Amino acid sequence: MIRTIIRENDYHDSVFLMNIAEQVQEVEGVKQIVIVMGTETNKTLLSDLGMIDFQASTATTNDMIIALEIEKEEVVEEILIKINHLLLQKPKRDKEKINFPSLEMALTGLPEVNLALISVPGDFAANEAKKVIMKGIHAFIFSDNVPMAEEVELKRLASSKGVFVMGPGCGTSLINNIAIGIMSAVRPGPIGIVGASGSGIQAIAALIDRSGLGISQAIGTGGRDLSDEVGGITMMQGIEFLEADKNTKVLVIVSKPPGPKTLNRVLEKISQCRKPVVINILGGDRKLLEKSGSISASTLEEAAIQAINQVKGKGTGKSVRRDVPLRRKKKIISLINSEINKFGSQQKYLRGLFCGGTLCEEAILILKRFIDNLYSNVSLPNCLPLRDVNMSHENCLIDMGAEEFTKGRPHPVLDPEILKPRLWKEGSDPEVAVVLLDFILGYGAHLDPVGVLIETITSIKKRVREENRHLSIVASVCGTENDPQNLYDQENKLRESDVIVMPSSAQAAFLSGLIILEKGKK
Amino acid sequence: MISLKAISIGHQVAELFTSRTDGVIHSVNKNSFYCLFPKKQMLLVYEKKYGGIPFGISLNQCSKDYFCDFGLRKNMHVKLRENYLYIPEGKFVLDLHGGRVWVSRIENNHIFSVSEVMSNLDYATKLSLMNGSMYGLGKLLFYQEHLICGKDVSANGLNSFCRFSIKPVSNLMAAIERNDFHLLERSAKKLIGLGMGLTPSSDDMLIGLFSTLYFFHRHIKFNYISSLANVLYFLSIGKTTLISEIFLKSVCQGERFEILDDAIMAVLSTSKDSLYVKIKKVLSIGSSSGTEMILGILLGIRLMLKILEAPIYKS
Repeated sequence: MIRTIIRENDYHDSVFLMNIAEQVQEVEGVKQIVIVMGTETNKTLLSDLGMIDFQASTATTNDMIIALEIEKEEVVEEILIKINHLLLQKPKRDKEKINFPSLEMALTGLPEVNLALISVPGDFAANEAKKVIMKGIHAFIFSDNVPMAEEVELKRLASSKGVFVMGPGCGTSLINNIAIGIMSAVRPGPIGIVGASGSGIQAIAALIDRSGLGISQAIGTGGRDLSDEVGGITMMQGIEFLEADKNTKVLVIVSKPPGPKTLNRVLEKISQCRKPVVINILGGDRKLLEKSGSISASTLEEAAIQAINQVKGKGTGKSVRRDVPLRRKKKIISLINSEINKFGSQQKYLRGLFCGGTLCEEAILILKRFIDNLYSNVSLPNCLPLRDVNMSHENCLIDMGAEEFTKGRPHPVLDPEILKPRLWKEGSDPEVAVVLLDFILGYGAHLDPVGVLIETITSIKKRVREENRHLSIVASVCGTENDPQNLYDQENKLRESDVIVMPSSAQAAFLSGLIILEKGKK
Repeated sequence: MISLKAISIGHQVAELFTSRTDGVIHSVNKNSFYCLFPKKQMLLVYEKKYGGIPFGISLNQCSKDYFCDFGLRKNMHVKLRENYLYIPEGKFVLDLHGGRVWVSRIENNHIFSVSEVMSNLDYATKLSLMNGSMYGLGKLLFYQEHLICGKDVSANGLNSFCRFSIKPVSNLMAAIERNDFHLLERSAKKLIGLGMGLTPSSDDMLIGLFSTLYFFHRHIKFNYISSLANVLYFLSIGKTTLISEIFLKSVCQGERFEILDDAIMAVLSTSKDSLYVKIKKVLSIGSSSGTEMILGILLGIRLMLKILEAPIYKS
């Protein structure tokens, strides 16, 4: 049933009207509400939506039309009262939010502030960061493209002032249980993380949260901190801080391959720690790492499990497999057999589309054990570069968050739309057997990343079935049940669409590799 | 009695004061209010952060209060006398003494590097997606290249306004590129007046777009731009809200808006010095209007770059 209300010569701004629409939508019996000015185009829009009646069609350009789709006539009066009440309200002010015209004024106006998030173009970030560091305030620099020399200068200055510079290019931290950047809602607990990898920090923290334990602090250092030019200044500060922190019982260090000199400095620092230290350096030499007395982990999942075991007093325990802990082995073998029996003879390749850079690199390292020729847009030893990043070749893993894909577009963690055409393309390739995906949840991430891709997944599965083929889609979701997206809701959506969901990105990569390996043997 | 001082005065305002006509308050917003005079003449009183506007008076709003808190209400009588604007019922006086007449200061020689502009366009897009409003056409920022090149856009995740405007916007781009008046008419008819609020979203996008086209027109004579703009203006008469119609009229006549010019110049500038600030300023206009204006500006610049790539303009 459609009812329209015309308010002659009434104007309000769009956000105010949208807020009213959202509140009216909550009234029981309201199916849909649209509020627009009575222009011809808006009337055509209402007509297309089936929400126009004679009264609305007579509205003029200066009249406001409130069009309602309702289930029963009885709710009309209640809605009218509510709308009138809402329209009479003054626009709300943002009482919690204080805007300052300049950083200097903000620092004067809010003397209690001890952390500043800096997100300005890279050329200006160092200057702004310097201002806060000089005031003894920690700086979280979200901006990237900050010149290396400026990063070194900032970090040296910060270190001398006893404050942290997280970044530049830092996307993830958890300070005093407050997520900064993109980070999952994890419970507070005894494990402290310091890392030069945003998705790495988040993946470890989320897995720890799932075990029932929590995180004391997670300090992002920025991707270049462990280069020899910077020398791991923030990493060293982070280790010192967590070592002294009463709430931290176990330290976890995560990083992409560091500079050799910096690695030695970090290992030396770790050797002085009294608390257990778990270290995950992608592709790192296990023996070298363990010489420092740390517990080396080859995957993010293993790092999380080792840290949990340390807290629980289980030592480095044999329960943690050195590769990837695939539990329920029989079930997995039967799953692999069932998948490979459905493939067509031409299907032999794996394609991976990743939102998390570290998750992609980790998958490459795992899959190298199963697949010889692995192509990627990520530059790693023994990994073949793609001639054109938009065209996959044979077995191929793509970091969709890389600069070549995000120029002028949001990162796929913020908006996974960018993955849709590529997913369709990879799934449609008759030589592809397995598609590997990751999803990242948390504050700051897209509110329904699986929802964005589910239609494409369903369509591709349907198309493949029609062509008498089978496509295995293997996915992992990095997040927690307390994330705004809810981990279990997202995982269930995938399962309902016949996607194999693994508990971690490492397990997803491992399973994908095994499927391709077994298919090759067949 | 509230007494405020003008900072800058648009050149059309001087004509209004000469005629000594009376009007009424048309609408009151947080940071501005509109006065309506006979013959659809509009006067906008607004905070100085929005820069110069041809039919506006900007003032330094020292108080943190919004205009609606001053007690100004719709339909209150407005008098223009000598150098004062009075609203007796609202006990409000605006003193024009000392205010400077604002004149657009676009430089005629503007050299830019295409690669730098492309990088600035990408940066401005990111910034707008992060800080803009997505209630109106904001999400079309994701699909600028699609709209310019006429590629298909997935409607999934888009609101009704976006979905409804994909094809007309795409056609509008093609119409401007090909100088096709019939296509312009068909597409503009589907856009003018589309959206919520005081200035419908599509109109705001058109304002940004045509401001940009005229900006280029000043440097490289695209003579047909003014003809296309004329068509747009005539199509808008009576088809959208009064305020939107007046803004569209101004833009279609080649009038400049300082805040939009600053943003266009910042995107075209070879330095990123002011891009962040200028884009954020436009984004702060209205509740979602600024985002749609930026969409129009970015589409306009991308379109002009595409047109300039044509061999005839390359030299």
